[in-house]
Amino acid sequence: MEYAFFPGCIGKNVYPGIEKATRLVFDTLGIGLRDYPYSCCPPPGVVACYDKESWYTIGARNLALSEADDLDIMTICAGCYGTLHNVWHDLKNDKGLFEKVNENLGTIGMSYKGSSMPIHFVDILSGLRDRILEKKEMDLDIRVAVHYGCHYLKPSAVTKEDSEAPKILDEIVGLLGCESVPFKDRLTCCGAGGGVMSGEPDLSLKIIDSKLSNIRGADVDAIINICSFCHMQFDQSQKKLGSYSIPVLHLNQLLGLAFGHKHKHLGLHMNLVATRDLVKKLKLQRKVKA
Amino acid sequence: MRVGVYVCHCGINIAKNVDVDRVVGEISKLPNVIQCRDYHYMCSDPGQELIKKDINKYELNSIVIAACSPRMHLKTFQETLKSAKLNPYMLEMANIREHCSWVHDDKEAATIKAIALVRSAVAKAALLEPLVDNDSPVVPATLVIGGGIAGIQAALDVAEAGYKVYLVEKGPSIGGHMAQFDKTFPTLDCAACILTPKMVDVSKHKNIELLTYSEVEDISGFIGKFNVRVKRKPRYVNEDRCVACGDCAIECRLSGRVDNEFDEGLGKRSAIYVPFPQAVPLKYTIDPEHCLFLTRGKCGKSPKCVDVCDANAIDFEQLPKVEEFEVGTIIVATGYDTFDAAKKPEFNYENIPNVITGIEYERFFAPNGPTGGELVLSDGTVPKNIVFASCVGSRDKKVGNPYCSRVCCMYAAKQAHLTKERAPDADVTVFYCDVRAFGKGYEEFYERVQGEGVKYRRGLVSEIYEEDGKIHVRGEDSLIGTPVDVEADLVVLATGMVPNKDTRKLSQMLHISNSPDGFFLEAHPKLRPIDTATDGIFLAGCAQGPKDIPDTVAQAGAAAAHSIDVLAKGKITIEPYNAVVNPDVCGGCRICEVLCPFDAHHFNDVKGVMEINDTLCKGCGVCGAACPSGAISLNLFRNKQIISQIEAILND
Repeated sequence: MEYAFFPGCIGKNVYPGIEKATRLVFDTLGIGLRDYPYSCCPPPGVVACYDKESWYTIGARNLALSEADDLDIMTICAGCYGTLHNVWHDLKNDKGLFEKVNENLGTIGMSYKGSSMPIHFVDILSGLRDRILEKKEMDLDIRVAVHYGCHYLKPSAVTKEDSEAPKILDEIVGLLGCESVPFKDRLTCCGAGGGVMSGEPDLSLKIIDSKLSNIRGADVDAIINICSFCHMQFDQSQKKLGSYSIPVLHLNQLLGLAFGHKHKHLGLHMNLVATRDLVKKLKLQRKVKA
Repeated sequence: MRVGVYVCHCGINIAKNVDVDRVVGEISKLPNVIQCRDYHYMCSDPGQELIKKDINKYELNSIVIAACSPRMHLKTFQETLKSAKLNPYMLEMANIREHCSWVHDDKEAATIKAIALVRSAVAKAALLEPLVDNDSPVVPATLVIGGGIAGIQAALDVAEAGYKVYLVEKGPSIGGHMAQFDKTFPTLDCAACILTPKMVDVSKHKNIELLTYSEVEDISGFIGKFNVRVKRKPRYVNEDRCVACGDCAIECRLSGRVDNEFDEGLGKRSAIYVPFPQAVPLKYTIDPEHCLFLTRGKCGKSPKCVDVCDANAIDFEQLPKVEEFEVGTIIVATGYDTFDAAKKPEFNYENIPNVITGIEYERFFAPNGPTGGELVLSDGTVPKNIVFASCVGSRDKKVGNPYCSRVCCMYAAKQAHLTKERAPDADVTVFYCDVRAFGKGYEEFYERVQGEGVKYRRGLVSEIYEEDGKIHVRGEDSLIGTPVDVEADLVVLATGMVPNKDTRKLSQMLHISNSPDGFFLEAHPKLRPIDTATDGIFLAGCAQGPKDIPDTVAQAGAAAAHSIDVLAKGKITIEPYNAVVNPDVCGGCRICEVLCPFDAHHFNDVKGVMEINDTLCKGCGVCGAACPSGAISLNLFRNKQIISQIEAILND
């Protein structure tokens, strides 16, 4: 099995640990990831609002790159997934738009067919439960708060049927031995997407503050996300707010730990919120079990 | 063939855009046309008289009327022909109104088109053949499926008219959802007080055969003679012997341990039970899913119900019984199911005990309910803050139900009133998106409830969650444009109606369709809301779509009237618009058999040819188009007739 790998701007440039962890984890799972000269996805909040046609065209260019190799595109960020999935969905259902986008792509000698589908990596993991259990080297006996990310779940008409009560992430962390702890408003926005983080920074901080406060109330060892952008919001805002210190891990970093990869190889030290204590706790667990 | 052609002006409806004189001039030149005339209103008495006189005077034997759609006046002119002693099927209509004058504004082009249409009709008229109607006898009985208020009313009305009624109900008692209600809006009549007498009437009526705890397994046949097969599930209680003393239920080892469906699972019953004290028939039933003896083959030393029953009514050996009978008509009154609130996970209906549905709340008020009509929660407290959430599972595309359930606004208002009656100090809030108080006395009732201090907040509930033991309801008050979060002791979800889960199965059995909302489809949304596309099958109540009780009773009465209409005639006349098989040409390939949507084709094994039942055939023509040997043709639409019409249009 092989996928075209769309790392996204944040997972590649701001938190390269996420990209690295993804490569390690999927290598362990025996799934090939192929690289292409991708651009930014680009995000709907800051591009589509101003020029929708360009948004569709750039998105379609990204989708078209792996069409010749007949590979679907794996994303590790709910934002990238939201963009690429919406572009793919809309172009499939709007013939006029499809033709317009192809006309634009023609000026750079490209064309878009719609044959490669964007897939969020969690949906790939969902079909690999047995292999995850097989490759797991240790149980991670910790309490975690999982965060799904709005663009992974919505709009429900084109993405998920169970968007109001998703279970998949809880199930995957459960496979690794983690306890997914319920907390208030767990499905609400992290406050970063939709251009809020850059356009309304104060409001954005207010939203994440209430979210972090709810998570702290659940007394967890880590926040697990499946979106590089949410990851950045959870990690950076804790420093800005100054009153929290809950380690933030992308699901691929958590999987990397369970598969026995070194925490430095997974880029945990590149987070702003220290992950030292969490790593120590896990090492101790390993020793006790051994 | 001696053809007469009559071109109508329809006042100015046709004449305005079609040069009628020119049409008459052109058509008069055609071969076979003996007489061609125009008139201002052909359908009027003088117009019809004109045609009649011509038929006799010129010995016409085929008539063309160029006027409106045959849907409008075909029957009118068929009667004209009959009164002139001409076979009514020697008539062809050319639609030069809906198909021509009404849809064109270029008079020249419209006139040319009108001439072509009439020319084509004349070509067919020359090839028409006389046809005769068939008569078929009607079995003077009606099957009513479903024993809720719709089925009860329809059964009583048909039975009162003197016809036999088989009323089939799948549960152990008739009564339906209405039996679960405490009061009915807007008059606050006690539901049981107005329903139970009707239930008793059903059981006592000499013309009604009540088949409870039974399900329709198969229906075949057609209007006038449907063959019905009903399975009677075993009650494991001999109905003739049971006197409903209730000792068995008291002694049952599972007494008070089985969820009572009638109380929506809030109350408890035994494994042997009557759903409610006013059940009809008042006979006990053993629940095969829970009864220890039936599930494990053992119940202590011996089943207590057997020990205690003086009438010797318990019979564990009972087996399902199949009954077969014939009826002339069928009334479908299968009602609705309530929307499953678990499909809105954001409301946490499954996780928070004091988030309940409207029908569950109804049982709190009912004197025969789990709390004896008291408003107390499971922990013994009286709720102080009660919130109603409207439109749960209705007007919600996300759950696939875009329609309005039409009763939730009003039952929420009624329950808000009943809440205030029992707990005057309680804080009652209704979240709504717009209150639909459309029926007689409904708006007045809504206003009355508002006057009693019930708060209405415009905005739907988005989320219900629990924090520190308190229920929180989140939503938006869209009148002040602010998100709100209110605390509640009890949240009532005003769940809507969804089609009965057996609807699909029944659709296939009866060959009737469903509308996009999943309910049964009526023949016409305005003018034939009681009929279905299958003759002799009628709809009553919520089986056709969400309704309140007055509308349900009205529709049930109408369905009964339509049914009686058929039964009273004693025979049905079948127009000969059916397909016919030429047995000399039919090769017996049976391709047509599977294509027929009405099961009208039956293969004659002896002769090796297909035969078509005139009564079942609706003349859709699918079989004729598919027949590889050209053995099937449609009366009034024979190949040579249609080809001659096409040629006449093309031969300018």
